[in-house]
Amino acid sequence: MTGKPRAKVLATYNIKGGVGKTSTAVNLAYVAAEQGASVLLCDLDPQAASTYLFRVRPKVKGGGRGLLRLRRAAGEAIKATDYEHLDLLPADFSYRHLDLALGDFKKPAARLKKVLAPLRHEYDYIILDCAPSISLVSESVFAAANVLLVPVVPARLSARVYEQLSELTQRGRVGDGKLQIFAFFSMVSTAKPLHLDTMVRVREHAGIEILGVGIPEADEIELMGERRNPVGVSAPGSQAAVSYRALWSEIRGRLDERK
Amino acid sequence: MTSAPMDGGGELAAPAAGSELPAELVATGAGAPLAAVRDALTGSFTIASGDIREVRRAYFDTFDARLRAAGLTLYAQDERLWLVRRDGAGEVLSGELAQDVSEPLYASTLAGGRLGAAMAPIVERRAVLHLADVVLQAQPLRVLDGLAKTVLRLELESPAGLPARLRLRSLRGYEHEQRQVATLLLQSSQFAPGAEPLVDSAVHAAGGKPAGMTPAVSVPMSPDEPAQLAVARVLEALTAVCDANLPGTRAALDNEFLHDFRVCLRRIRAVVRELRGVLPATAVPSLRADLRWLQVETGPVRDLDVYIDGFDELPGLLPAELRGELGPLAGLLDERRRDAREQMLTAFDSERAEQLWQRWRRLLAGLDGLPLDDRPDALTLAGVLCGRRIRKLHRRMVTMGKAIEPDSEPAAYHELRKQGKELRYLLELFGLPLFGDELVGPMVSALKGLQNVLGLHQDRVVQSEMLLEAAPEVAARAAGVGPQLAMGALMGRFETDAASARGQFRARFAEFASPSQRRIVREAFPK
Repeated sequence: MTGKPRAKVLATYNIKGGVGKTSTAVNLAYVAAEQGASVLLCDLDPQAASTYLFRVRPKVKGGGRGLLRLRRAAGEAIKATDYEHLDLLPADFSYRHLDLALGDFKKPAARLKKVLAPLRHEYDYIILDCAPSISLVSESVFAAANVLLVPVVPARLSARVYEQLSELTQRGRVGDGKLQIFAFFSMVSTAKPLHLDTMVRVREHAGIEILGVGIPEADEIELMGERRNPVGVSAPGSQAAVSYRALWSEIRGRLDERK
Repeated sequence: MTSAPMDGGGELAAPAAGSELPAELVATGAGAPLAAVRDALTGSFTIASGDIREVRRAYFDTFDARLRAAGLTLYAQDERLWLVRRDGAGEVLSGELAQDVSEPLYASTLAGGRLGAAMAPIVERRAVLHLADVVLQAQPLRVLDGLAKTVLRLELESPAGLPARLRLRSLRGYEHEQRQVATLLLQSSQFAPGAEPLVDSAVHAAGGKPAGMTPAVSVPMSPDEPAQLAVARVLEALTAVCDANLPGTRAALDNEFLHDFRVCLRRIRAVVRELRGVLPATAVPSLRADLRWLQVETGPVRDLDVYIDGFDELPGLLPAELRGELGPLAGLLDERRRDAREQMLTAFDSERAEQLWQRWRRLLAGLDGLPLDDRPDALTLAGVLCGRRIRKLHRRMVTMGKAIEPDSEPAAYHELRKQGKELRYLLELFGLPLFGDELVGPMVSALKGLQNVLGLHQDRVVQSEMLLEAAPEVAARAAGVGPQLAMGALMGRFETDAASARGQFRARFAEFASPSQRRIVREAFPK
């Protein structure tokens, strides 16, 4: 393993649950892989929703502690998904104690970055699906990621989370100060005037940059848990599938601008 | 990652070490292979089958099968080129196929992508030729576990006229399940590990040789058999290599065809000369004359091939201000090679060449039935005759080499080199099978060391002479004196190289002709 690591690390993050983090991580990973990039999706959420969606058993040898401690644990735990170019680092129930496990290390916030370092030579993109929290795990994710993908439900309370995060980043308290934050509207219902109104107001807010593409509230996304497939597979022509492709295209464009 | 086609830059990845999973199984039963797969896995796994499609695949390799020797297979399918490992493991590379499959491919025209980058160091300048076609029914299958998760991908390929094959494409993290599947398939007795990859079966079926044709000839023989039998077999094998390389030489597919043709022609000449007592005395002089004539007729093209192939390195031998002055020389060499090729083709098509090959084949076919009165060595034991010739040639080289001084004429070095080639051919063609590698191997190594020095000396002398001879014509074509100065500087450099080779000669010769080597030759080879 030589040369510069090629993988960009993207993390779907929001302190709130139920805003579309997992469906974003799964669908963007699928779209990127479908377009020929090699992608690793890391399910860091002990609820293991991404792992379940890909029909993989939520089990990592040695659990969260093993993953953080052993040099080759992450590589050995990776499972190919049913889709070309897309692999999964499954979740494990023990990840609920990941904070404690991280606390054992001298530099806990840097640990995840170290775990992912060898994998950055194998993949074009590593996508982290994070549990909703602000904790040592979140700090680890901020340190390991190049980009935070923040789904924002167009409601005042949810948008405030992004605002806080943006402030933190600018003060250099998150990651190494190079972390990019790409927020986007998630679970958008154009039939709800409140959503439309909030979207306009949040976009106008100084200092907050929101991606142009939003993800609609859609049955296809809700049904992912039942169908256990990305929407690109179960409903490739749906508005949801098209939106994820467009979102990925915009994200890639922004990443390319930074090169 | 899964085994997936990718473009980009890099090398073809090797499979994971220690992988015991067979990458390909061949159907051995009479029934439908898909049903056999389902039956074998019933109770443990289920199968999801994809659509069947007809695939037309064209296989490629160099004439000497360099890709195969490197453990790779190249094929064209779906208007793309695919480079895969022969064992089916590891990554797959693919690239655009921008030409008709019947046309030879060259690494230089594939440069740019990973495919070209992976192939170039293996095939170098050799033409990559279309070897065989296969039409097959291909069906993707997925092996599913209890969660309906894919744990292994299978590709069922049913080539027309050949047994069906099952290719196993491993998936990361499911090695245990893959081993289970492979074990169940093998236990079913409906599948067996593939004796040879599909490419080899296809090439065989097309009448080709999967291992390709190299100038290396290895003919088994016994020291106690009559020399005429061993000699006939060696000459037949050498003639087969000449025959095989002739079409590629004529079509100028790449320069190695002519090189290999000439190497085998020279080996034939060495055998005819050194073991002439096996052949009819009346036939030998004209055969030798005609074989030499053919060698001479093909020489200029080979010399120019060497010059032109190495031309890119010449500017590096010059001072910076003269590096751009070799254009007129390059143009002249190209023209001369064209003319030389025409002359060579005329020789190949001549009555003299046709009669030579006819006589030659007749002679080989009936050698052991010819009268013995003018073939004094025909029934001599192969070990005795060849040993005697090796001993004599070695002694002759020692005598010639001792007489060479640092200021000897280049011709003296060249004569020694020619003797060295004959000795090397005798050692490789007869010495190794008759006397074994332990004895002959070190002799060949010492001889190679000497021949390398003599070869460099001769190459530089020839290149220098060619420059001297071409100088007036280049001067007449060039606008300024730059090209002449560049050629003069090159000649100076060549002469320095030749002098350096002469400087190394004594040490290499001492190794070759050391008292211990001479004692070994005396003791091992009969008088």
